[in-house]
Amino acid sequence: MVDTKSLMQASTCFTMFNKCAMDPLCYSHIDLTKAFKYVDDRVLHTLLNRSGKQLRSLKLGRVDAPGSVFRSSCLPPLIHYRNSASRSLKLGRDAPSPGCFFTRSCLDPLKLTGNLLTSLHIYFLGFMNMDSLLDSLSACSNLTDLKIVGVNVLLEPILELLARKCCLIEHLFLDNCYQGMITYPTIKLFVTNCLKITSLTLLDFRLNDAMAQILVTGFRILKYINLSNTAGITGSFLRNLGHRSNDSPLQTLILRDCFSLQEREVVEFLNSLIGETSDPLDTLMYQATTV
Amino acid sequence: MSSNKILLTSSDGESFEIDEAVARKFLIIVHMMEDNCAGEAIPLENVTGDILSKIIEYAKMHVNEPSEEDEDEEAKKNLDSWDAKFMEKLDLETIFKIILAANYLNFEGLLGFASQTVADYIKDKTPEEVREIFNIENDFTPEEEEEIRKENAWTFNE
Repeated sequence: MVDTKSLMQASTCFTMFNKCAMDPLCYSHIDLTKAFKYVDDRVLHTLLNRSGKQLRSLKLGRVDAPGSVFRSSCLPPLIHYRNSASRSLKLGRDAPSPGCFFTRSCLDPLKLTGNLLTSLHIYFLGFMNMDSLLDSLSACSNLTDLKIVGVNVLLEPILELLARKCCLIEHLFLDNCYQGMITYPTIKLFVTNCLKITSLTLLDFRLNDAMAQILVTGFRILKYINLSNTAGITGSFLRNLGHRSNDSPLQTLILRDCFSLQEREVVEFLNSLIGETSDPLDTLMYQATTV
Repeated sequence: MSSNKILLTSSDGESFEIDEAVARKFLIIVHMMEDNCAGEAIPLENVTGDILSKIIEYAKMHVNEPSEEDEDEEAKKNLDSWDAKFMEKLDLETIFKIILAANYLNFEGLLGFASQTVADYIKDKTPEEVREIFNIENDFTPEEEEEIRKENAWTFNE
C-alpha cells in the first residue's frame, strides 16, 4: 500500500501501472496528507469517484500545519504562553493554511461513496460548510474512527450526528478550535448511543466537571480519554471515578493544560487509586499551568 | 505439538524437511494434507530451491506469530526487527520471486509483507525514479504522457 500521491506518480510510469491505478481497490485508502499543497476539490472528487464502493479510509489536509505544535498533547514539554499569545494563535489559525484549496463542501462526494468508510481524518481545512459536512458524515454509517483537527466548525452538531447516525464509532478525536459550546443533552445522547467508544479525545472543549463525569463514567468500554485544554473542570469529577476505578476499563486519562484543575482533587484521586489493591489506571497525566 | 515432518521438493530437485507446524503456514500444503494428497514428498513445481529456502526461513520465524492482542510488545518488536533485516538482505529480483512463490504457496503473511516492501520502493518517488528502480520502459506516447501528467499535476508540484 502506498499513499495516494505516490500511487498517482506511479501511474505515470507506464501503461500497465496506469491501468492498475484505475482499479477501485487502489482507492480504498485515500491519503492526501502528503499532497496538501496542490490538492483541490476536483482531485478529491476524482479520487472518491474512482473508489466506488471500495472507500474505507480518507485522510485530508495538512497534518503538521503551523500552530498545531502548540496544541499537540503528545508533546512531552508544555510550551507556556500568555493569554494574548493564545488569542493570536487562535486568530492565526482562522486564516486558511497556506496552499489549502479545498472548498467548504469538499466532502460532498462522501454522500455517494461514504457508506463503507470506517476511518476519516481531517486536518486544518479551515472553514467548512456545516450542513455539507453533516450531510457527508450522515452517509458514513459504518464510521469507527473520526479525527477532526483545525477545522472551524461547530462540533456539537457533529457529536449529535454521531449519536444519531454513526453509532459504531470507536475512536473519536475532536479539536474544538472554533470554541463552540456543547450542551448536556448532546453529551447524554452521545454517551447513550455511542456504546463502542474506546478512545475519546476532546481538546479545548468547554466542559464542566458534571459533563466530564458523564463522559468518563458513561462509556462502558472506554480505555483512553484525553480532555486536555478544558478550562472548566476543577477535577471534582475524579471523586466518583476514584471509587469505582476497579469496575472501569479506563487505562489512560490525560488532563493537560486544564487551567482550573485543582491539585487537591488530583491528590485525593491518586490517593484513592493507591488504596486499591489492583492498579487499573495505567496512565494519569495532568499538568495545571499557572498563567 | 506434533513432531511430524513434511518433505518439500523444489522445482530444481532440492529437498527440505520441515516441521508440520511450519508447513501449515502454506495453505496449499494444508489443503493437500486435508485431501490426503500429501504423500512422501510434496513437489512444488513453481518454486526453486533458493527461494523456497528463504521462504522456509521466514515461515520458521513466524510459526508462532504473536496475535494482534498479544501483550508481549518485546516479542513483536523483535520479530519486526528480524523481518526488516530479512528483507534488507534481498535484492528486488529475489523479492519478486518470493512474492510469486508466496502467492503460489498461499502464504498470506509473507505475500503481504513482501508486497509492502516493493510498495515502499514506490513511495514518494517520481515516475523517472520508479522506472529506474524497476527497469521499466516508458511505453506511453508523448500525447498520452502529457495527458496523464496534466491529470496528475497536483502530485508533481512540490
